[in-house]
Amino acid sequence: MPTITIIGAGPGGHIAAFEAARRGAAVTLVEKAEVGGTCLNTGCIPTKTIKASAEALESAARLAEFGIITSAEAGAISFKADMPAIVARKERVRKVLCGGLEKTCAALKIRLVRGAAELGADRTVLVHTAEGTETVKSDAVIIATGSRTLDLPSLPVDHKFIINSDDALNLDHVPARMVIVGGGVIGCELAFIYRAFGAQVTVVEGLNRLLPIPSVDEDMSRLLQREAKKHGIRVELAKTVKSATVEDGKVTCVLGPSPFVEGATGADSTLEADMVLVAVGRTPNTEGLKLAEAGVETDARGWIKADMGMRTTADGIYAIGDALGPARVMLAHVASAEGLCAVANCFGEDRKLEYGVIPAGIFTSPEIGTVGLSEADAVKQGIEFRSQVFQFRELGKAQAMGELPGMFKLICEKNSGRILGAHIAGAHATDLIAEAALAMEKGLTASDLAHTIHAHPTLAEGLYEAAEGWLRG
Amino acid sequence: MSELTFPEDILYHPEHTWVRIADDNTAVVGITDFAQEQLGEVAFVDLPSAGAAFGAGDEFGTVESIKAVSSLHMPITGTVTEVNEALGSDPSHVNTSPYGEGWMLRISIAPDADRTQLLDGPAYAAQLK
Repeated sequence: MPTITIIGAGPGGHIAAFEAARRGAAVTLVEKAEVGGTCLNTGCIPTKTIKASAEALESAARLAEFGIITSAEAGAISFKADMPAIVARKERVRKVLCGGLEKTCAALKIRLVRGAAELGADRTVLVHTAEGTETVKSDAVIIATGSRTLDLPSLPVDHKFIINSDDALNLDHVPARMVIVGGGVIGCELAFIYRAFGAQVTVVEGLNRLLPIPSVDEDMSRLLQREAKKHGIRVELAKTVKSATVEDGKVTCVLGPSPFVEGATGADSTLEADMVLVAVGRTPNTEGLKLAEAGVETDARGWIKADMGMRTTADGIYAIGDALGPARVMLAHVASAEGLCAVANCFGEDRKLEYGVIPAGIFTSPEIGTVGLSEADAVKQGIEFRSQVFQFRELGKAQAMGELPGMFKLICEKNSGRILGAHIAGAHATDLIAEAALAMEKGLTASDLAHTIHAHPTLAEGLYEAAEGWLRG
Repeated sequence: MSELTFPEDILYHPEHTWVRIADDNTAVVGITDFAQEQLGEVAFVDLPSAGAAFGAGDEFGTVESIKAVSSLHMPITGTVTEVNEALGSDPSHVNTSPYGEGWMLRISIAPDADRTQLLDGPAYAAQLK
C-alpha cells in the first residue's frame, strides 16, 4: 500500500485523500488554511449560500405577484438585506460543511496536518506547523494547492474600498454603488447578487461579451446581457478600468477602451463608486512550495505542468485542480475527477483523464448550465451541426412558477443527431444540465432525448422540447 | 388579418420590422402590427445604443412578451442615432401604437442604401397569408 501526501484539502485534495484512504493507502493531508479549500470557504459554497439570500429577497419583492399580501393593516412591508445576518448564515453553512469534512478525514484515518507545505528532495514534504516543521516522506505526493484571487497592480486591493471576491463574501453592508471589474463567472454572479441586495452595479468587461469563456455559448452571453439590463445592471463591454482612486470614502474609476479588443476606441470616462470589486481571474497558489527546486515544472504564469495522468515533471509528484491552471478546466468537480485519476496512478495504474463531458453551472439570474461545445466551438472544429432553441417561457411550468427568462439550446451533429453541446439558461438550469451531460456521456442523440418521456409539468421538458424541435428541423 | 394596419408611408421587412424613410437620409424603425399581435403583451424591448451600425437583415435587438421572445431584424442598412427610451418604462407602446409611439430606433442611412429587400404594404400583407 503506498503512502501518499496530499498538499491542499480543497475539492481536489480531499477527494483524492478519501479515495486513497478507502483504497488502503496511508494518507497525510496537509492544509495551511481551512479544509475544503476555495470551493467550500471562498468560492462555490459561500457564493451559493449568499445567492440563496439574494433569491429570498427577490421572492419577497414579488410576493404581491403571487397573491401574497400582508396581514398588517398599515401599508406595505418592505424587505432589505441584513449583510451581517447573511454573512453569519454563510459562516454557519461553511462551518457545518468544514466540520463534516474533518469528521470524514478522522473516520478514514487520514492524518490531517495543519501548516504550509514545502517540497524537499525525493518527494519529501516539509510542513511548517504551529509546533514546528514536520518532515513527511511518502511514495507519492499530490499537489492540490489550487488558486487564489488575481490582483492587478493598477487596482490595488485594500479590502475596504477596492475588494476581491474573498472580501465580497464577507461584507458588513451593501455598498450603494459597486463597480465590478471583470465580467466572467465570478464577476457576473456577484453582480446579480449585489444588485438583488440593492446596490447600483456596473460590470466592466474587457472583452466583447459577458462570460467571455469558450464553453459559454454566445446566445447565453446575449441572454445574460439582456437580463442584466432588466435588472438595472449597467454593463460596459470592451472596456477596462485603467485606474481606481480612493478619496473621501469614494472610488473614482477611469474606464478606457479595452486593449484586448481589436479596434476598441472611444474616449476615457470616469465612474464613481462606493466600492470596486476586482474579479479579473485567478492565479496559482504555489508560493513557498519550492516547485522549481523539486523539479516540478510550471508554465510562464506559474501553473503546474502535468500529463493526462496528472504526473508532473518530478517523479512521483502529481498535480491536480486549479494548480494546473486554465490549460485544464478550473472547476471543483474537475479537480475531484483529477484527484481520483492521480490516486489511481499512485496505486500503479496508468489512468488518463478524458476531459470529455464537463458540465458547469453559473449562478446568475437566471442560472446558466453548460455542457459540451458552444456553437462557436463547433464551427471552429469544422463539425457539421444544427442547433435548436426552445424558449423557457414556452414551458407551462415556467409560466406557472413565474420564471420566464431563459432558453434551452441543443447543438447536435447534422446527420446523426448526436448531442455535441447543451446550453440552458433559466431557473434551475444548473441542475437541468445534468441530464444533457449524461446524454452526452453516453453518446446519445436528439432522437434519444425526444423519445424519452419527460414528466409534465416540469422544467426538464425543455430539453425534450428542444430535441423535438431539432428533429422537426 | 383584416384588422391589422399597413400605413402607406412605410416599407416593410419580411422579418416583420418596418422603416419610414425621410428625405434627409434618416429613418425610423419599429415592428409591425402583425408582429405585436403575434407577440402579445410586450414586456421588454432590448435595443442597441446610439452609434451601433447594422446591415439590412442583421439582428439589432430582441423583443419579449409573456409568451415569446423574438429577434429584431434591421430593415435597411444604417447607424442608430436615437433609441426610444420611453419603451424602457412603458413597452406597451409597441402594442398600442406600433407605427407611432412604439417606434424603436432612429437611424441614419446612406442615400443609396439597398431597398430591394423591402416590401410595400400590399406585398407585406400578401406574404402574411
